[in-house]
Amino acid sequence: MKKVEAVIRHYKLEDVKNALTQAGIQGMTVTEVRGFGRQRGHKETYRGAEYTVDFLPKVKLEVVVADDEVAKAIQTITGIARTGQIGDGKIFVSSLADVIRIRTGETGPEAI
Amino acid sequence: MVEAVVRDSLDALVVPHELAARSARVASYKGRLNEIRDQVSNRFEQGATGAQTAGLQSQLFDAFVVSVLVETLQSLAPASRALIESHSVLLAVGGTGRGEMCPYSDLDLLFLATPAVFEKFELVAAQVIRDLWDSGLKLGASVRTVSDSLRWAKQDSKFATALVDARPLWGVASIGEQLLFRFQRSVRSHARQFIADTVAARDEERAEQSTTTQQLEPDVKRSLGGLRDLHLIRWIGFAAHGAADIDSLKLQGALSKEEARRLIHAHEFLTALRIDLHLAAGREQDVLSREDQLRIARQRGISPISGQAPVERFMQEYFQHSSAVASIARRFVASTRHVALAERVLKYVLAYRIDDIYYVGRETLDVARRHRPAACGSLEGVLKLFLTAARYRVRVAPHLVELIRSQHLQPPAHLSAEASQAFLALLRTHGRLGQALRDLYETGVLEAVLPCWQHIRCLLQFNQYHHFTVDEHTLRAIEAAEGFASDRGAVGQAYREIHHKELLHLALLLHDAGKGYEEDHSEVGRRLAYEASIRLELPDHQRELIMLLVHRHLHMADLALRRDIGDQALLLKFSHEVGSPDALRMLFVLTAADVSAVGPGTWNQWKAELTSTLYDRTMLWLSGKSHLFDEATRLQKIEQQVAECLHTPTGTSGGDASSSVGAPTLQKRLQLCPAHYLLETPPSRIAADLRVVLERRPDEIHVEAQYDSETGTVEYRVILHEDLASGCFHKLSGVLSAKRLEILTAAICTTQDGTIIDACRVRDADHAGEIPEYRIEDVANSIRKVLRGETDVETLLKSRGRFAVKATTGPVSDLPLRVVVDNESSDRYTIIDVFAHDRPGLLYAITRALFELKLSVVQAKIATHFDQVLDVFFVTDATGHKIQDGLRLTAIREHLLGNLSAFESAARSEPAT
Repeated sequence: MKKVEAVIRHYKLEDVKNALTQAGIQGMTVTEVRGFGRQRGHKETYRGAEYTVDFLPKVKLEVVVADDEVAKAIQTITGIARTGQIGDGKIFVSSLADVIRIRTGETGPEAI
Repeated sequence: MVEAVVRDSLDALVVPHELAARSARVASYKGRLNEIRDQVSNRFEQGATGAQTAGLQSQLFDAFVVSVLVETLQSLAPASRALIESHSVLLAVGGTGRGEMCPYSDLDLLFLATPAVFEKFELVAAQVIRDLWDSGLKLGASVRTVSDSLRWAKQDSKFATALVDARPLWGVASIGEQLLFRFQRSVRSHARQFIADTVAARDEERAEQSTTTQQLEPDVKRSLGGLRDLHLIRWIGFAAHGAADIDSLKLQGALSKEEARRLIHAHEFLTALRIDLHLAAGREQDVLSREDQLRIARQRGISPISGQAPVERFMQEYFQHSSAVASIARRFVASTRHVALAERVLKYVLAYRIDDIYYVGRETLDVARRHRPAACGSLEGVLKLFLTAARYRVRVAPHLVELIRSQHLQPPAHLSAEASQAFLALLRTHGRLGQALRDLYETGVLEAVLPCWQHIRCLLQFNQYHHFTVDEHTLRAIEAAEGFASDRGAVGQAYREIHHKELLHLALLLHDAGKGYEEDHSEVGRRLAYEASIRLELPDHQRELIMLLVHRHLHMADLALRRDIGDQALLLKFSHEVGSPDALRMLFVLTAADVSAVGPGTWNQWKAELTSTLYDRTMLWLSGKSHLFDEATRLQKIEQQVAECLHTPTGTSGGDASSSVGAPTLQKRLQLCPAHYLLETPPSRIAADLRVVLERRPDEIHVEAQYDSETGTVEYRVILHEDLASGCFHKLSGVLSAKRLEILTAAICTTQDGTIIDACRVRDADHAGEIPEYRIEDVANSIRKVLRGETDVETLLKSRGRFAVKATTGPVSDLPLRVVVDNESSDRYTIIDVFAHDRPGLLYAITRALFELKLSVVQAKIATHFDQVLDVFFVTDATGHKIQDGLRLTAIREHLLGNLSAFESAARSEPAT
């Protein structure tokens, strides 16, 4: 099992969520986050008046999938969230030791 | 303390051979309890009312407890048993004493004995308590003497209130009566303290409650308006009137007939609900969870009606009961706060009197007795009363609120002008507005003014998002908006800058009024906003604004949180829809208040940042101003940068003699320039302009042009004194159009000493790449000639044949022509926003029309996106003042619209070359 965390542009969330659901990936956690990578906050220019905003609002999406679904999840997310501009975000994939569904006590892939 | 005693006596009592007997005993008790619960449950399912079921349960539990006590006494020697029986009593207190037991309610008992048998009775009681506990009952029990009880009642408010409902179950009744007699005497003589303690304990209980559960999953016992508030009325009644039950309080006149009726209904409703919850959970369960709400609505066979699910109808009934209980309890408590004579005299002396009708105290507003019928008997009177209170930032006295409620004011078919003026004036206030509206709502007056509020009373939205009913959410939204008055961020600034706050507040009152119908609530809301505006006789433009705000109240949040707000087309479309800076401010604050009122923490930094960014960018489009930076600090920085530019002459044109500009001169010069010019022009450019201004001959018209290879555009800058030419801006745009230059952006300003600095960025239709010197010289010469009056724009145009030289295809964007005149955003200027399709000569058409209207353009911002143009003009009349005359404002708008639609259709019909 893998945890796929994606930090994406906030306005791409709806589309990514729908695409993931359509791809058969159910259940996700969404967090409103702020941060910066290479994008470093944008510099707003308006007729010479300039101001910088340090941290950009983003959303973080977490899904947990079985190993054979990782590629599909990543493709789906990148396919939708990519605009080609700086600031499209990043995807982090990590291995999970176990998953437990609290209600039933199921563990492992069944609990996803 | 009691627990310790019990444990000690346990050790004394338990001997090994007794263990087996005890577990047999406990098992039989458990069996009897289960039988009782089955019996109660059956009766309830067969349709017994809540009161009947609770009554049955109490009866059966009473008998059970007494039998346990009697059985325990059997094990004593006859002599000591007789002694105990003649010197003790078992009292049911609290809920048990009231005889309203739910299947898994606690059992509240007081074992009372005279000092002579206290120790013996304590051992017996300990065994009874332990056996009951082990058989699965939750107990609140203590063993005391009369004097001990009285002492304890003074210290512990919970124990004291439990005693109010005491009733003997077994034993010598006179011992109990003695306690109750002395208790009542002590309470009545310290009624104020008792009431204060009781209310404080209730407030504390409720405060604990509200942090853990939200309004939409209420605790039927402890939440606001729950059973506990009915108990509160009993306790307070006992202290203040010597009677605890509703009927006696009604007979005494402490509760009105109507109030008593509502309380009895609510009591039944809540009790039945609580029994249901206990039976379904198989344990004490007082929280009405979402699952339970759905289950009960289904079981009660509530049918859906248009736009409202069964569960929403069920919860509406719940909230109607709980809000009635809450408001009656609040009124009842307030009415018992006796004011001492000295305090009353002091209040009278200190109160500020208005016309001898109103008395403004420190916290409340009262009305002279003989004026009360007039002040509280008509809609106009009531609204004026609340308006006066709001202006003095006090509340209307509770007894007046009660008086108004008892009048049952009905919604009139038409609101009198007096009533609607008073209502709007009330909405204009802020600080105590939320409280005033709550009082108006509770008394039914708000519904008389805005009948659409009847529909949303206690209306629940059954989803995971909202924490409050629609009415509560709306009132919270108003309070949130008021709260922004002291907010240091963008929302606070926007709120403070809104001139007509009553429009924002009215829009907030109406924003969710369309909920609970089949159709989309924004669409219904738009119609309700229309009706309300007609009812309040708002002028046309205000009505349109209210309708826009209500109809589109979700729009800004939608865009900010779900769309790419860096997209210029989106910004332009949004600006077009909102129309004016003032409308944008209102929509922004409305959005923030709406989201804040959904629940705690919903308006977070993340949402605030995105929404503020959208606000700021749109504001730049609409007014050229940004809030994102501190203007004073930036101006200071700009001044420094300009100074640096001046002292290190760049390679650009202009003499280097200007290094002689001293700091004081520079500062003085810059102070004469309008802030928007300084903020929006690069410092190096400001420095260059300054050189021109300083070196210019008085009658010189300075024209310069600079080609920007990156964008392929040319910027023409014209600097002159305003005395040299009138209508400079429209002439300039006319010349540029005549010379087949497409104006992309323009920024104009006039300094305080009358220097005009106009800049236009243009695309040259006739020259690709670097523009030759002769072309620039030709344009510059034409500008000078026209400004000096040596020729005019019309002649230039004619010499060119026509100016619609560029082939015009149909408009790319479908946005209609729109002209918005905004007189609210600026104290000194009237702001005109024009949204139109870009065509050659458009700017000239607009500016000429403005000139014809004898308006002076002080500042302008021209922006083009695709084929759509948003032009913002800050104008004054010929004398330099903002236009105040409403008729003239309408005429300006009409004239511009007329001219522009004529211009558009002419341009469309003209054959392309």
